[in-house]
Amino acid sequence: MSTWEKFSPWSSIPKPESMSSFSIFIVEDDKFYGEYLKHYLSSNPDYSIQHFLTGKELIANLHRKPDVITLDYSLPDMNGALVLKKIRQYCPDTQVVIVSGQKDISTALDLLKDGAYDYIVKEQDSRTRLWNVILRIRENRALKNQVEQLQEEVGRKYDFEKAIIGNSQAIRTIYSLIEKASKTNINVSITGETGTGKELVAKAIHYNSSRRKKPFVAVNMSAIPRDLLESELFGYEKGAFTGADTRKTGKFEEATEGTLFLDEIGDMNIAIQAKLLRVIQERELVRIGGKDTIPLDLRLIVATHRDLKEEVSNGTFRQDLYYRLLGLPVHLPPLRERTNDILILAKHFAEAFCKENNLHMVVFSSEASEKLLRYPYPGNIRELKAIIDLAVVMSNGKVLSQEDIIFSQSSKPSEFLNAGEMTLDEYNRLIIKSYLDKYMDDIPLVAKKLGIGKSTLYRMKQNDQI
Amino acid sequence: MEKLPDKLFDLSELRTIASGDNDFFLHMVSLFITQNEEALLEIRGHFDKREFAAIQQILHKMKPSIGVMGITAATEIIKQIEETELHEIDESVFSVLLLRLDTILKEVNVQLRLI
Repeated sequence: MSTWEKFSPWSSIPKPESMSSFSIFIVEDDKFYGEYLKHYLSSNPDYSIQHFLTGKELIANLHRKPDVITLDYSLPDMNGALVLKKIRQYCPDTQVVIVSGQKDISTALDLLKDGAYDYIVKEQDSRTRLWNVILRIRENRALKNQVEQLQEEVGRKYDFEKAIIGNSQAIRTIYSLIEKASKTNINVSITGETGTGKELVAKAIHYNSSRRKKPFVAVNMSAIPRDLLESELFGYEKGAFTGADTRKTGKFEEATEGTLFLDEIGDMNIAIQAKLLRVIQERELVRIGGKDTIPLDLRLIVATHRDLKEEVSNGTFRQDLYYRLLGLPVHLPPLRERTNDILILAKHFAEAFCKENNLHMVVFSSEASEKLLRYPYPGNIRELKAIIDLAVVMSNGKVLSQEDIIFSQSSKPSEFLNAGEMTLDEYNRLIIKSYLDKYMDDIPLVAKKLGIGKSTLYRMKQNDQI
Repeated sequence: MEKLPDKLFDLSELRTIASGDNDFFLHMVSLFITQNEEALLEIRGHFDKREFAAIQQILHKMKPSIGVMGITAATEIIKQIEETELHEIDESVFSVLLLRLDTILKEVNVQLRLI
């Protein structure tokens, strides 16, 4: 049985192998007691322990920044409270556990308020309690390191050139705008059709900015009932209205020091727009039913698929709010305007899907690639991803054929209308493409269905118009 | 003078911590003997000057190591001395307690030297 297993009060719990070496300073003027604690704690081979007899000796060694200091409150040369103050000043990350003969509660409370992690009275079970406290400190530190690592990983995931795939000029422009936005606190307004990656861009800005370790709070304005939107955004005090049994912080407060992403801002009703404008202007808010103003420190990013200028002209969006939110405008083009990127994205999605599902990598046949390039993608990138995921699932081998590329069966004319404004010619080509896909390139059948001549379709195909 | 208890100390805690390291065990016994003697000397010095607060402080400091060594009789006496308010000290009672403590701890040292 190892000494860890022998001494650890938690010896039934596996030793946390992931924890690295841990440095402990014991400050105890009673040499016997100090060596007693040192020897006991040394039974954990991960602990490196040093014993000091005076406050001055400890302070002279604070530059070594131990993980934990166990501190006797009554030292011969310095008051324990003063030593604690010095430790907090020079080693703010070091946890201090007071180990004292004094049972005075007020002294203990004062020391805890001054930053001590815990207060242990020197009694019969004090060594076990100290062991447990140190273990807890160590585990909390490991958790904190894990959180920081995960935050770094999320940051890497949102390395925008890896998260936002593409080679087109439009995408390169977007990279440049994201970089500019992430270096400052400017508001950002993102426009684009549904499925173009507005939230992805918002996250890329946040996780590449100085706010990346703080919250990213996303709110879809169209998903929240109108009656609840104000309380959801700004919070409320207990008793503010029937049903307000407790205080609730709103999304603005949740995003403190971080980023608040308001998606579908164009769907916000005009009454809430007035309150939003005041909050953005004053950089403070008052919860519903509250009296205290709460200062705000966050970056605001908004997104919409609507044309907000048009909404302003129609009177459904406030002009003053529009200009407040505008900030750095980022427009995400629809996928059909980035045909250069379709196959790059398709390859990326196929690789990601295969990796996630432990499948062999697939490649696209030339017919499949052609078919992908012809489609208008009313659902943009989100739709392309769904098509590729399904294609990988449906394929029988390592090569995706055109039969594996299945577009939505419920393509209706309204979907083309939702795809944004186009010329009549563009609409015609989209309709013809959808019929060709539906009827597997059967030109005579499509010509019959659409009431046009077969020669028209053949000519359009020859000229690469469809 | 009240008879000394049969078992003056209990080294089981120290043996547990030593975990078979005899050198450590003997080192700690020796350290305790030395600290004990120094403390008793200091206490006598303070008692001669009627510095009762200083005596209480020294005993307060000794308590944890005396606890580790399982010297229960001494722990009880120290508790009584510590709980006495300075303005209520009866010198004769105080003196009896200190003498008892002195006797116990000296005998402890004698027996520890035989280990």
